[in-house]
Amino acid sequence: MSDQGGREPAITMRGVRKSFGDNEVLKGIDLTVRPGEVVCVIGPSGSGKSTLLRTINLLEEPSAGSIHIEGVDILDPDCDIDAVRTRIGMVFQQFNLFPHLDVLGNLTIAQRKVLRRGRREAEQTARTMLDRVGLAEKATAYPAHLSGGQQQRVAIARALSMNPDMMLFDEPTSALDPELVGEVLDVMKLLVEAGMTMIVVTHEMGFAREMGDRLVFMDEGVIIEEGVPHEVLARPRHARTQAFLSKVL
Amino acid sequence: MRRTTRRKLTRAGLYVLFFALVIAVVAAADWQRLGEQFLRFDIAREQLPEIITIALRNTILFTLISFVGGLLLGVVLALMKLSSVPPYRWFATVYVEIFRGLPALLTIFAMAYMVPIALGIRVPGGQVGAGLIGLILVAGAYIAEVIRAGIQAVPKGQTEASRSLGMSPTKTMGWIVLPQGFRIIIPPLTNEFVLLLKDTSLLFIAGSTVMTKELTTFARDGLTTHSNGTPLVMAAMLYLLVTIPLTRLVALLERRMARGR
Ligand SMILES: Nc1ncnc2c1ncn2[C@@H]1O[C@H](COP(=O)(O)OP(=O)(O)O)[C@@H](O)[C@H]1O
Ligand SMILES: [Mg+2]
Repeated sequence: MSDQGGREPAITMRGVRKSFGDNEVLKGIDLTVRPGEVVCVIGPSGSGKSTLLRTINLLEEPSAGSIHIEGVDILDPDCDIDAVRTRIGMVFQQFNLFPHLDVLGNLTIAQRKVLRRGRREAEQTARTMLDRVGLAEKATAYPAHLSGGQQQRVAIARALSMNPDMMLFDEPTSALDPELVGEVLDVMKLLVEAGMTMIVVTHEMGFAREMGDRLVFMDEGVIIEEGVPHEVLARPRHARTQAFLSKVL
Repeated sequence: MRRTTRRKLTRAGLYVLFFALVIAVVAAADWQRLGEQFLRFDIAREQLPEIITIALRNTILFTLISFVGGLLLGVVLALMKLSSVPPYRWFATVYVEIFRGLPALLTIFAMAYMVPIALGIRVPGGQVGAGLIGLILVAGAYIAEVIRAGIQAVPKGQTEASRSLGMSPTKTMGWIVLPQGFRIIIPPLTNEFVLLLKDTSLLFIAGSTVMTKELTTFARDGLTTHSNGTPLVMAAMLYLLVTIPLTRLVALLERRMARGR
């Protein structure tokens, strides 16, 4: 993909493997994500989707292979991983908001402690991002007083407050009551339309078909097939993809 | 008879038995001699104001010093115990085992007499200062375990969210994990504070001067001087005067915080 000219890939994974003890969870992942691309990842539970995402910002250290973020080799021992992580926003299934801080505190803490932004600048950024996710009026609320959908939107705003170049979503709507899924997906659509580079692990096939540039199907630690979402969904080539899709569609 | 009726009767019977026992003890006690031995108003007057301005003040001061010292030491030990560096873990484990395993009295004694001789140093604050170091060492061991439990009670997702925002391990510990851990451990930490307040009475082993007596030492001296228990009763009431409002206040704070989150 790098031979098509233009900008450097946002994410390049080559032969990435990851084992927990004897259990090899990623068995050689090759994945390149171009800037502005939206890649959706589907696959059965336990197939390694979360682990794949978590190696990208090194929450899990790969056992083998290479990972470059915007050209930077993050497995190089001299790499400043904290600096790289500020370029990558991450949204978790369980939101993981900081319960001891109010919404504004959640959105400003890393801006202030990592990016060294002043209070005014940090709060201004935070309010802009809250506005984007439609929660401007919740700035002083504590996470426990928000619904699941609101919490996940705050979590997205928290990641955006660092002005990242790309976003990783790990089943962002899986922990939500069905009626709250829509509000989170709507926020994610806005991000796609704004040109954000995204990897989204999801079971929301509608979102994948509509918003994804590419759909990746994973099983047992390998990428089984990938392609344009509506084609993969309509005409899966691999038997395992067919079996999975017949269960979830 | 229905079961609920029978249960009510049983309970009523227990109440009657309980109050009968209390009344029997109260009636059997020799209140006049008790009063003479433990509640002499004139002796009580004589203890004032020093029992408050010196003894109670010292008890509170020594408790605060050893609590703050123990807290700082406890945080360091807890972080060492959770460290990925094995020698740190070993040191913290051995430390906690030793100072939790020894009677506090012995540790205070050792700090007050053995260490100054062994190292040829003079501790600021004299004998009591040296004894306080012993108390800090003991407090650190207990508080370290409390803090470690608090840190481990913070869900892993909190650390991951913080790290994914680019926060370093140190910043994550200081801004995300410890603040949450401390909220979790407020009840056991209050407990440690109360235990420490009572353990300041062990500082007598380090030897004390007129100005460094804490409540128990002060009361024991009063007991010897007057051959009367009134100073002990006063000291007991002063301890409770501190501990009961404190524990009530913390319980209140805790309920307030539980509602806020
Ligand atoms: N920290 C860990 N320690 C041990 N095993 C793990 C750990 N994280 C994930 N695994 C294992 O890795 C496999 C893949 O997990 P995961 O990446 O979470 O899959 P998915 O997100 O596709 O459901 C599972 O078998 C899981 O048990
Ligand atoms: Mg997962």
